[in-house]
Amino acid sequence: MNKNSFVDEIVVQKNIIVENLTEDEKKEVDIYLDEILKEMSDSIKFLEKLRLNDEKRKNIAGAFKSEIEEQKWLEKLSKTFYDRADIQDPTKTQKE
Amino acid sequence: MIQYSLQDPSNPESDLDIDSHTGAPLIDLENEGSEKGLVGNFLQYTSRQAGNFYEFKKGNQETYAGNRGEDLQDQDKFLAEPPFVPQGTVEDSLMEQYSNSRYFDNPATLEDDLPTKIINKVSGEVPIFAGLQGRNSNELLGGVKDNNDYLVGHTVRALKRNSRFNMDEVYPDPDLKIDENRFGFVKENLEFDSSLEALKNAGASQLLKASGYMKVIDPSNPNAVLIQELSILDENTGPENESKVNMPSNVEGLEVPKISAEALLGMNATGVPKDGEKSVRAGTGVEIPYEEGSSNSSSFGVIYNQAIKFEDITPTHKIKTALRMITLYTLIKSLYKEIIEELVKEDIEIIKDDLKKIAASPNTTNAGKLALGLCRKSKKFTANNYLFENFLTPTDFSYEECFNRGINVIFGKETDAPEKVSNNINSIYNSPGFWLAISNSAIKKTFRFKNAFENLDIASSGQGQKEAIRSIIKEFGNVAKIANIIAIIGEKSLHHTNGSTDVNDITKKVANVRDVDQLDNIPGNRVGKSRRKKDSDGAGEIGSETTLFWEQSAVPSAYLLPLNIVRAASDLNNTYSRVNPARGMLGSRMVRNTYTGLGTDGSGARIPNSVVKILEDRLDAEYVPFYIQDLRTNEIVSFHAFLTQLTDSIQPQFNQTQGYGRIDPVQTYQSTTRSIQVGFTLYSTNREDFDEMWYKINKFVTLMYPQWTQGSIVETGEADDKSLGFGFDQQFKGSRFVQPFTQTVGATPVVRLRVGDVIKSNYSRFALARTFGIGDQGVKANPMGKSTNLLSFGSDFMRTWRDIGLTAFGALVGSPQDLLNSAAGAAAGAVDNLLLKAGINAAADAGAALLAEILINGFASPLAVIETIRKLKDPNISDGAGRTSGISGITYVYINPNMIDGYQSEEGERFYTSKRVLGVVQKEAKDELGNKVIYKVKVFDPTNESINKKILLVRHEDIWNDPTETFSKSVLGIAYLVAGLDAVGLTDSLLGAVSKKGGLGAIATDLGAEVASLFLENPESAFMRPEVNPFTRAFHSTRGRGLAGVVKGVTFNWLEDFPWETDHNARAPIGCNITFSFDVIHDLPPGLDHTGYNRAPLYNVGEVMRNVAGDVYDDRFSRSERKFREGGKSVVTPGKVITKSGKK
Repeated sequence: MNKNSFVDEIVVQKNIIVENLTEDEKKEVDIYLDEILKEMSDSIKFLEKLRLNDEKRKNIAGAFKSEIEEQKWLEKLSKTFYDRADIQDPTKTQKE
Repeated sequence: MIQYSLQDPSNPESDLDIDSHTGAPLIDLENEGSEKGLVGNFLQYTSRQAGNFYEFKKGNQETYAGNRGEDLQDQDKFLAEPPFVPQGTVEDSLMEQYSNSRYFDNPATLEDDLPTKIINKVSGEVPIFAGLQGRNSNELLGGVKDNNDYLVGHTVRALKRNSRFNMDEVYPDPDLKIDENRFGFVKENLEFDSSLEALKNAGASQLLKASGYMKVIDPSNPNAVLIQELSILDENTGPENESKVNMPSNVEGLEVPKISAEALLGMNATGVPKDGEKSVRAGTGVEIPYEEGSSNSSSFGVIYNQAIKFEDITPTHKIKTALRMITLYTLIKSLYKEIIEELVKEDIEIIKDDLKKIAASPNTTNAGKLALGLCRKSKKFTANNYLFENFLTPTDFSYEECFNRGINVIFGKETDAPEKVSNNINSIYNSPGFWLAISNSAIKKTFRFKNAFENLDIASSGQGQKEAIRSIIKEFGNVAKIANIIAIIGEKSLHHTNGSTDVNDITKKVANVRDVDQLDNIPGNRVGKSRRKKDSDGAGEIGSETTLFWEQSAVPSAYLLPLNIVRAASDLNNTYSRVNPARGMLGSRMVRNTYTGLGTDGSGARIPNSVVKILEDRLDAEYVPFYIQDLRTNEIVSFHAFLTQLTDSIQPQFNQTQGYGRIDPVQTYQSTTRSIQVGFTLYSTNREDFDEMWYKINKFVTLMYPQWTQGSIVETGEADDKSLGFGFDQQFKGSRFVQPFTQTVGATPVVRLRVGDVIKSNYSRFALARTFGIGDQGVKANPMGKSTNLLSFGSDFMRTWRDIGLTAFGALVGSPQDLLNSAAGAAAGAVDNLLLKAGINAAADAGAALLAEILINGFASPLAVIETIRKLKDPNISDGAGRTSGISGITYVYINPNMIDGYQSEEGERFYTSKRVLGVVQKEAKDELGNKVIYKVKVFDPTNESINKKILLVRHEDIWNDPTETFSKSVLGIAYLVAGLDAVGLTDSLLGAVSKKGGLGAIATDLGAEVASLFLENPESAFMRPEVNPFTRAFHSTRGRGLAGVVKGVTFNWLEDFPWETDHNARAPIGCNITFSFDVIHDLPPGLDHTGYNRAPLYNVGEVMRNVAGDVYDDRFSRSERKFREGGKSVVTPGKVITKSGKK
């Protein structure tokens, strides 16, 4: 997501919740939003970088993937599903 | 607790010493509090593995050995936890406070459920909420007074998830946490109505908890917030440790505690640098080292101290919190999207490869299943499900929609209508300082997430990235705490507005599919809703919002009130007191069902047939029309009753003649009798309904008695004074009256009974016309002996032309077997040689068998049926040589009812309908996945703007083919039209489309078609008109949709579980069971006509039979059906937009 669409998405939500505020309050909120966006500028830049830099994105996606695998997310999910359904995991033998 | 007696208590090692495998002690009582004893550890292991709610503790301890027969000892001698609330504690005082007596004394507490309240206030394990292991009641049930029920349902779910949010807990031993799922799912779908105000408060309260202020008992109490914040100061911990903060131990009740004065010093405030170059207190000797980049290198500032009482806040505090949450949410979403899209690319490649392997495998028996299962391997599937399983709360609408709506509800300014907003200034939502507390938490969370996020950018190595991701997931857990609360509040609000994402709907209670009472008060909804809707009552609607819409008198009836009766009451000075039927009927709700007028004056008064038709058309809109028409008066008594019995017995009688040489008698048909048994329960649902029910019962009873004649008139007076009439002759000076008891039986109580579409009349003008031989060769029925067709070219010419046309029609679409049969018959008839004749017949049989192989069902002409069958066939079913099936061209169709999934419109809205809806197929399209052929159908329903002219996406199986449409748009239909030269049919065909759309335009069209038909119709049609034909006229005079017959006996059961009304003159049951038998008198004798076709079918049910049997009223475009469709219009309910990827 590029910076503009990122900000646009936030502004849409902001406009809804400030609808009934006074002008002064709205100004205050705008100033605060600017502050937040400034505060977040590094993060937003990083998002932009992630979008444009294929290698970086691949690396991070790879790290996320290996985290999923190492932490056995799929196995835990399966266990949860089988437990919830109160059935034996068919991929495991009775002995296990 | 499990006890074990050592053999020699003085020597603990004498019995169980060291485990030989591990070298660990089995008991280990020497070291107090040791957790090394393997026996205890094993017990804990087994109790955990068995999924016990309460696990054993580790280790072993020496305890008091209680023996059978000894006195009970104090519980503290055992190792058990104290089972009771100790005296003098906060819990004890709260228990006192909510004793029964206090509960009933204080009206305010009646709003809440007592047990909930106690649970709410008393800390400790709450086993009744199994699965919330380790959660105390304060966490379970917020201290929100406005809407406890709501919170029980939803907070439980939120906080259940909460237990996973702390990744420190999840990561070390995730399997253990997953085990919680065994208990953790709250399956009950707790739905409670709540106002927007309550939602705001609930959301605010839960946000406070999700922000880390879990121990605050009453968020509306600013002091309580202060206690919590001070406790943070007291412990002098950084924000990263806030989850460890506990309620100060010296809290008594809800008083502000005495805390260490040191804690209030600025230097001890959270995050204040204590040492190093940048310390503001450098040199004082009390600083702690300061390191740049460390967690205490920056400060969120000291927000609270005893001088600040959370006043002077502005709405922007709240908005600031919202902005932080929105930003965080967007950030997380964007990151996730980037990563997951990258993984999807990889997933697709892997799945493709696997698919190839499956395809290449020699055993493809389960290839489909295997292929389907591949998606489960994808990382997207895993990640999405894992995150929703462990972090994000499940929601009924898409999580994002719920989050956005939640933001709007909690942080937005919209409120309920003023009358709904409570005046409680202490509401949590308006609590002073409340949003400061939340805002503080949001700031902390933002920073922590931001840091984790940016670490990901910095990390260059794989390991560093992995750690950064882990850190992000951990922080995500923290953010999810708050996001879930927002999403849950949003979900509840979306339920209120039926999923509409329009923010303007927030304050509205939009008609909900589940809120059946919001459906319009129309017959189609009679059994689909419970009570009336107050804002849509039309003329004739009675009762209030709470009146049951299905009360027994809800369906329209028509009762005759002859003018004579009105006059009698007046003559007897009974206008305002004593008997006056007019008063009873016209002064009550029965006024809407009472028919009276000048035409009802005198003997044989009847409700006009035209009124009967109008009423019957309206009754046709009911769920199951159930009524009796008294043919003597044309009154219609309709019931909205519970049918308990309906049997139909048809008994033919045969004359049996015994013959020589045969064992069985020869059966000669004599007659058939048909008898119906009906049982039903009438039940009145309010007093007015009760009153009308008893009128109805009395009317029903008259069906067992005759109509009496007026009787003999006797008079005195001079002959000259007499006038000719018996009515308004004011000149008559004598006395004239009817001799009592000179009335004799006048009319037999013949009635018509209608029960759904099963018990109906078998009359139709078509069937009557067949008894005149219309359609038989040689029959030339001309009205008044000559054609009345104004544009006639000469009826004989027309008939000849039609005969030629029909011959061609028969040849074209008739069964080829018929042609073969005729040809063989002619050939065989032409030869005299019997053997040759036999040969021709044998050849014909062989030919027929061969022909049957290529004909559909062995006889139907492909020419005739293939086009129709193609239309009826799903276009997604392959025809082998390219697709030719499905509906093509502009075709009117009906869309089947669907209240479960509804239909999506082109614009993305969703509509639900419980009735068939008319539409026209515009063109084909592809479904979302681009696999299946679907149709774009434009709806015509001018009675319902919400769906009219919408273009719906409809599957073939959702379409119900109208035989009329299918036939008339086929080669068959066109051939029939041309062959028959049916000019009237042609106009009907042209105008039918307009008429089908309904509305006033349709009525005008009907009228136009009627007038046109006068000029264009064939002489046979004119011959059958009631104006010309006395038989038709006779049938019309007593017609009705019900089945004619006589009621042969009725039984009322007054005493079967029916409460009795006890008011004056009303001490009678409010309901009754009624059973009666009914002997049928068919309008037209059933059976086969001389050509072998069913001449007057008994059961006119379904679309085929409608075309075969027809309606009693020779209605060109069936107004009853139109009423039926109008009566069901409002169940078409626009739903929410369904996006391609969004959850419903």
